[in-house]
Amino acid sequence: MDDNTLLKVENLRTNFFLDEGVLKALEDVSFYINKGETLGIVGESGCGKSLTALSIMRLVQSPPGKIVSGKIYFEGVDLLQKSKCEMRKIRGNKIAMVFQEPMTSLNPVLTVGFQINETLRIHRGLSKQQAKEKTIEILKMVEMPLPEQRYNEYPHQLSGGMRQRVMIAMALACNPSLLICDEPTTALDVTVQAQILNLINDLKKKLDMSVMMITHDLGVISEIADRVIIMYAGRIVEESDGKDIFLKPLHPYTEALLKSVPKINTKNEKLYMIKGMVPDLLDKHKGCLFAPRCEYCKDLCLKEEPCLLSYSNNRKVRCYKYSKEWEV
Amino acid sequence: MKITDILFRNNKIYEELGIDDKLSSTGLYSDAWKRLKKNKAAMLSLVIIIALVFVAIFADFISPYSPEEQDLRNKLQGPSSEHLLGTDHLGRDILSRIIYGSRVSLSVGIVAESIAVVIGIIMGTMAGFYGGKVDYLISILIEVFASFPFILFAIAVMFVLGPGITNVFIAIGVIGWTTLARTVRGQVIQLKEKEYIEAAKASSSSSIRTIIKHIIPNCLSTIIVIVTLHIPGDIMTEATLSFLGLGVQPPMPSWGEMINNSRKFMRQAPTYSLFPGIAIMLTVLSFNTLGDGLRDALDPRLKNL
Amino acid sequence: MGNNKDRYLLEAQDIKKWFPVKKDYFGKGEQKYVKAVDGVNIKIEKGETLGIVGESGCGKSTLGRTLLKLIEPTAGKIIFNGEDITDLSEKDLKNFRHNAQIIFQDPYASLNPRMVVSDIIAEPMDIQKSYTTKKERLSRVIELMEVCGLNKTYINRYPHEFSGGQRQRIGIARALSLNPKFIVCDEPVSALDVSIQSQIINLLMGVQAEYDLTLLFISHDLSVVNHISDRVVVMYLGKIVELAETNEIFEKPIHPYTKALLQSIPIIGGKNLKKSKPTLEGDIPSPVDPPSGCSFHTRCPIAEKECSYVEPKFIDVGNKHFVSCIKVSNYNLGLNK
Repeated sequence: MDDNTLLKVENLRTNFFLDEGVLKALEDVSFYINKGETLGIVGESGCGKSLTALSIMRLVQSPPGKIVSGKIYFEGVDLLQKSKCEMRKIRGNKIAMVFQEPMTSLNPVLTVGFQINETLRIHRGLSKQQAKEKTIEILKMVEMPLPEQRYNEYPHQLSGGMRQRVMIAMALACNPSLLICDEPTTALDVTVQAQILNLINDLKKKLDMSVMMITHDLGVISEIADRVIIMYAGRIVEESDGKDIFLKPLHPYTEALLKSVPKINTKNEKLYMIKGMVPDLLDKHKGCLFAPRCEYCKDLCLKEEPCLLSYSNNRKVRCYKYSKEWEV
Repeated sequence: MKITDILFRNNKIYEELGIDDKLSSTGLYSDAWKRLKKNKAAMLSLVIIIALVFVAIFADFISPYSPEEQDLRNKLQGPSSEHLLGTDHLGRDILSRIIYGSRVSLSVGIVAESIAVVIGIIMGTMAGFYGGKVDYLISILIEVFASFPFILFAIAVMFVLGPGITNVFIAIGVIGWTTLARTVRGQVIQLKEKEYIEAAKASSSSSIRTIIKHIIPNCLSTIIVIVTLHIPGDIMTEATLSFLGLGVQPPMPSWGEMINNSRKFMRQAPTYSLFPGIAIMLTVLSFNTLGDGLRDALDPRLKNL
Repeated sequence: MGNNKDRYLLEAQDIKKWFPVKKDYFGKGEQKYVKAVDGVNIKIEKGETLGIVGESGCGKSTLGRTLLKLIEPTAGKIIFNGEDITDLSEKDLKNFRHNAQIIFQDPYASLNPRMVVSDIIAEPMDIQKSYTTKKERLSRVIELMEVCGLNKTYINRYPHEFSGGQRQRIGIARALSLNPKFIVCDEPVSALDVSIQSQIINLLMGVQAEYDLTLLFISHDLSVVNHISDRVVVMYLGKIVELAETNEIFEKPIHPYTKALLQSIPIIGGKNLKKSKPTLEGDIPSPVDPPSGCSFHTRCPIAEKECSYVEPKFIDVGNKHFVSCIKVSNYNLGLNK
């Protein structure tokens, strides 16, 4: 493994054991994040992007979920081998997470200051006074107006954008190496979203962090991701550079997604619609999971699931279109 | 689909219009029933309750003796081959009296709760739906009734109407509606904000129609659970009232009244109070367990899947 | 007068909706209000799709509901098809409600989980008693399901058995059941996945063309609004700040807020946020205490002293383009671009 690689996920497989059967939520998920880069994970609901983050943090609800196999190397060490106690030292400290809904992610009966303090006192063993000073420093860093005043306020007294800044402050309090953001701006207004994305970008450089940005918003990814992975039905279907993927999407799903987003020049024409529906992961599948909805589907797509193939230096795609067998 | 729809369905129309509709296999209640079936304790309780209902209905056929048949020579006997659970202070067969006593307990549960449910739903939905002054007034009513010392009220009812089982129903029902009203009010306030309620308004639905068609059906799960959990309380209350001489009058058997009478004969016939006590305990335990099971099975979290 | 009635389906004159804020226990101090909609004037033309955009607290959802009288306006007049419906009682509004319906944002909360699909779709007809036989009712439900792309064999299923996109179709079928002239679409695609959004948008546009509907399309998503609307209204803190035809507003925005909004949208393959982009500072002020004068002046990059005490008027800058900004009224249109 490269010295520059911060996180390397190999063949991650997470299942949910339900009454109705086994739901194979994540299948053969492999990717890496280098130091100082932003990896975007894009997909629609149910594709497994949030679950990937939870699996890395080992926060998957068990039962019914379980990480069945795979390796998650963080700074060279496999997280799946660590004990619960050791994971607790890593969460919030070396790997931190920012969630989508700032209102339900913050405890409404505790002050903002207390909640940020908590991480500092647990992981750094700071005294109350020291923690308070550091907290105010961090609030300034996340550009919170009037930080001393906000320290004593409760979540409901803050606006959505400010609450999200608190979440970011909590996540960054212990200077993590990896910041996972799960749809951090979906619930925010567009102007506030722009502020928060800028903030995350600036802090990434200042604190020398890597960022894993999970979202369904292709625009957000386009603006801030260095590299992108696209997920569909629990699998990675494409991995690419942040720019190339939009200029020349490889996987038919990526192509379809880009086509169905309304853009300035599609006014009053019919928007592209992807036919069919997302497959039920409880059922047994044969062949590529996107095949029933794919424009390019051929017989061989229905026989066996394609592997994630290397297309070029930094691009991978899970599609027979780019394999030797296609032209046959 | 609702049972009524299935029973009274006009299949002809469906045929004429050429629809082959696949009836749903997952309604809210069928899902809940599946979940309930997995809860062994709740299913056992259900069986016990059904057995109890059976006993109450067919008491005439099951009971070995008449509950009022006295045999003063054989009073206060312990369990024997002739009298399986012994006899009471008037020589009456305890087993028979327990069997007939089930009628009283169950009818209290059903009738009193029915009264409470009707009053509770009306009050709760009015308060929750209309809000404002209506809510204010009804909430005061709820607080007054809830704080009223129950025994005092029961005595007052007996005083006015005389003792007897009907008056027990009234006393319990008229006081017992408050918890239901409070809970229903809370639910209605939440439901009011749902968009399908606004949709009904957007088509000119009257308030009454909205309440009946939309609000109450969505409160039913809560109501079912509350009622099931209240029944044991009602049974205990009846037992207490009969114990105090305010409820069922002799010679009608009631488990509470049996315990009351057995007090004086504790030393001579210690088993006299034991069996009615077990009967009460078993019934109350069954309803409580079933109620808990129903609450888990009807869990609203899973409604939104 | 006759001209107006023929041209405009709905006219809102100086609509205000103020929600009283609960006073503290002792009832001290003056009554405060959340000024959700604070003086809105719009005229919606027959057959058009009018888009309303704005961020949270701008009052667009409240406006939509107020225009349908689902919320009582605090002040102002609503004129529908030439008739003043502002003061009509619920009973008298029956006819209006027949012609004006709504589609909601949340596909999970907008359908009664205890009712089957056919009952949900037929409910407006049941309420207004607009059919005579059961067969008529059923065949109308099937017709609506087919128009909205729903499989008719699912006619007796419950909402939870459908996906988000399908539930939204049920909501649309319900809105169409009375053959209305006007539909308010309150963020109908915001809660849906990207690939489903396109299906629903196409459906709405198809249905509008087919039934010659007038739509009020409320959304915070500017690209969707751009795609579907003929004209666009931009709202901020309960007031309209700009109104123009869609092309005009996206290519030549005038109001600083509109410009900031357009700049904040992350664009696929567009400008790189990594290069420092001018974003709007600060948060949206509370609608309980909106700033004096022009409510945008606290965050406006070109605000001047005047802006804090003079309320801008809504002026016509030509080309059917209206703006509410003092600086526009002070300068010639050409110089202020």
